Amino acid sequence: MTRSALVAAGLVVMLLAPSALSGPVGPVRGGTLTIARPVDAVSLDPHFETTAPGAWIYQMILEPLLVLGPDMKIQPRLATAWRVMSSSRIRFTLRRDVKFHDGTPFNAQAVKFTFDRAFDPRSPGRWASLAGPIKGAEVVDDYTVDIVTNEPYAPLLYSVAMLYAGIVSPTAVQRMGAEFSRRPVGTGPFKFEEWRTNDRITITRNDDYWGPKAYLDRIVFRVIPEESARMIALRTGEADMVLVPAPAQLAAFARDPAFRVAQATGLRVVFTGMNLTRPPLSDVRVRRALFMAANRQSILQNILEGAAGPADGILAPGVFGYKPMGLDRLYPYNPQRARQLLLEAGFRPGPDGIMQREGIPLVLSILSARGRYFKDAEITEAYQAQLREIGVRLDVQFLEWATVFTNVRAATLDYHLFTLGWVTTTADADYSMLPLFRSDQAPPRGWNTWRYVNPEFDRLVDAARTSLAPREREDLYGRAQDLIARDIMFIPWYTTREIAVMRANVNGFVPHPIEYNQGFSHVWIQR
Amino acid sequence: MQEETGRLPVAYRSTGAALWRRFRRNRLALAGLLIVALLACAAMLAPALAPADPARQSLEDKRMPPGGKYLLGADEFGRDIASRLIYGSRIALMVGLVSVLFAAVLGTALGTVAGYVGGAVDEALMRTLDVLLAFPYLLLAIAIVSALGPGLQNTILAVGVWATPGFARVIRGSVLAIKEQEYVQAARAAGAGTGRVVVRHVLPNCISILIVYSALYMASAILLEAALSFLGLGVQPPTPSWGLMVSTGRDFITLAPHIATLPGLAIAVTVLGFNLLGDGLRDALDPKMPA
Repeated sequence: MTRSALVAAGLVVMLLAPSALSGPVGPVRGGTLTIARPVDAVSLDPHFETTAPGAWIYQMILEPLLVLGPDMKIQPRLATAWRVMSSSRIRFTLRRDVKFHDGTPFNAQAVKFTFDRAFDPRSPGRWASLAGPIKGAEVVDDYTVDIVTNEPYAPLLYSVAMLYAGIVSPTAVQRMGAEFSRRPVGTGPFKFEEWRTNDRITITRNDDYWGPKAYLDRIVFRVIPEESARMIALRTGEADMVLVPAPAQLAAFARDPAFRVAQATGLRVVFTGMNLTRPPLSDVRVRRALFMAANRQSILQNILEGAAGPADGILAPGVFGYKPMGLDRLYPYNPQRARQLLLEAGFRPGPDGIMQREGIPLVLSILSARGRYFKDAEITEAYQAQLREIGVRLDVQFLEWATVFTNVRAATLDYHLFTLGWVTTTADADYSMLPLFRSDQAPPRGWNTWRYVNPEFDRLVDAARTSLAPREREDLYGRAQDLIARDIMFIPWYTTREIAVMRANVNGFVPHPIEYNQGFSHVWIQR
Repeated sequence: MQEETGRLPVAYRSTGAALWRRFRRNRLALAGLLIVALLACAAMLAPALAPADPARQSLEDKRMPPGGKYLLGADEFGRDIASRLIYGSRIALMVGLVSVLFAAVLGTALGTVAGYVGGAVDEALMRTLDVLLAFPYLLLAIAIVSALGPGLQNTILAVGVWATPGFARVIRGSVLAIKEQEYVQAARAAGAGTGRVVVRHVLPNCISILIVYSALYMASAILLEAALSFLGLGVQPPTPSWGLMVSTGRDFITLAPHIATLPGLAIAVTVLGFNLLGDGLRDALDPKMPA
């Protein structure tokens, strides 16, 4: 045996030793878990933010009546029981032993306050547009509350279980006003401690929690935008866990016994959307051409490198109502055919190789973040090169996530294309199909960022929303998805796999298909 | 006279020739000149020199090491790094040249006015420029680009604005010294107006210091452009910028170190080249140095 082999063997023994000697141990209380992630929260209040960077954190501070477990089944949280009274009313029995972090008692009034705040027509909460036709909460007695809808609504329980429906402390909201959005007060297993913008958010254990108390003393969410810097922080011990890890380094970390890679099949689809109000994207031939110029297979293989699965629609497989759109069959990667479609739409190659019509070159703008979604910027850049092959110039601007978010939420969108992701938080197609595509859901009201208008589509999703027969709803959503596939206004790149890489001494972390539903109460650090 | 003897006046001949003689003896300065000359060639002949289209991707060739199919390897999108380095020299030189030209013209104008007019005008101008100088240089550039948006033009503007106070200070200092010289006073006594004195007698004597400063500022300007691009505030993809190449290549520094290190090397060599050239010019132009 050579000297270097001996040294290597010694190193392996040293690395294995602690776990080999100590054997299985029970959970230990204490310690700080530092999580490195690419972006900061927009807000810590579902009233203003329904995207993952904020939801990751406030879901540990604010608790809804129900929650969705990692198996996507509904579990009780602040409610102990519920009874369906009619197709538009569900009665919840509440926990009696719960206090908010500021000492305010939790009761039916607090639930009503939360729903009143979100569904106030003058300033509706951002999550209200995602919650279906909820009318509000009605107090029955101190610990009984009814959630009522304007019309029969099949997925109501799932809406109540969305973490955006976390109950807020009425006294804190009244006392703090706008400041509440940066320092939320709820009933959850963790309390807000500190938010240093674009640096870190810290939460601490709630020692007065009504349920099983968390093991960790404190969780720190650090913002480290660069992928490689996040991985280095994990290696050096500066971070204990990394979200959105570097795909190219996953294999090495998985092999290394000092680290653990946890993953779950996600429910998020990341796509590049098209703004139908900006010519020439109003022409379906141009949209199809843009789709057929995209080599989705190659991007999945070479840029995602196994860290994501294929996508065949706006919904992820596993969502109720999902129907594969057959996009590879409808619009296979075919640059020649894409060019042909552009010619049919009246474009001719210009002197610089860029297609033009009536002297106007086919130059499209795209709005994209860097690091908000797995490889978002890289995909945008690869697509830019693929579009060039068919004579389309894509002008790329990478902006900070908060800026991208503000842009896509505004009443007008000045970009042709935008790269975004969408997760069906309730795992029911209603959550996505209606706010994303119904004609009255253009921002700032909903998320119809492409400004799709199709009365036939509207009728289908309306019928699917009010129907209570699963088979019929599935059929209606299937037909709605066929319409979208025909009119195509987005290019889905991948379905997420929720991946976290952590040090081997981090125990009890169970990845959730919805990335920000992660429970940290059961996580503990072995010392 | 000139026609009769067929020779230049002694004073003229000695300036150019003596300059070159002094410069030539400095081996480091020659090395700098060589680097800058090669860079200029690369930038001008980029389409002929580059083996491939710098924006063309072959995703399946991602991170291919140097040698083999690609001379200097391929980046994370399977683009030819050699071609991107060659085209990247255009961006580096263009940002450097245009921004330094901008700063030199504006700085000279401000410095001349401040130095020649003096008094309250001098105070007002120089204190304003001091405010600009007080900003950490990267912060000022980031502030400008953040306000105007990223892109080539705004990068040039940001670098130019950053460099202007330096030029203004130096020129003001020279003008202050020159305007007390006997020949300037003689010109004034002979009835020359302010404009004529400045253009004919003051500015020509600032040229040498302007040249030296321009060369030295080129190095800093290129470095600043790389820094802005590294932060994603400079030129936007797919335009190849060395700073941007280092930035995106960093994600693969352990797997494929060539993606980030090669453009990093290009930045280092270029900055070194301009610094050596600037130092050499300064030594050669300094009349106090023995010929």
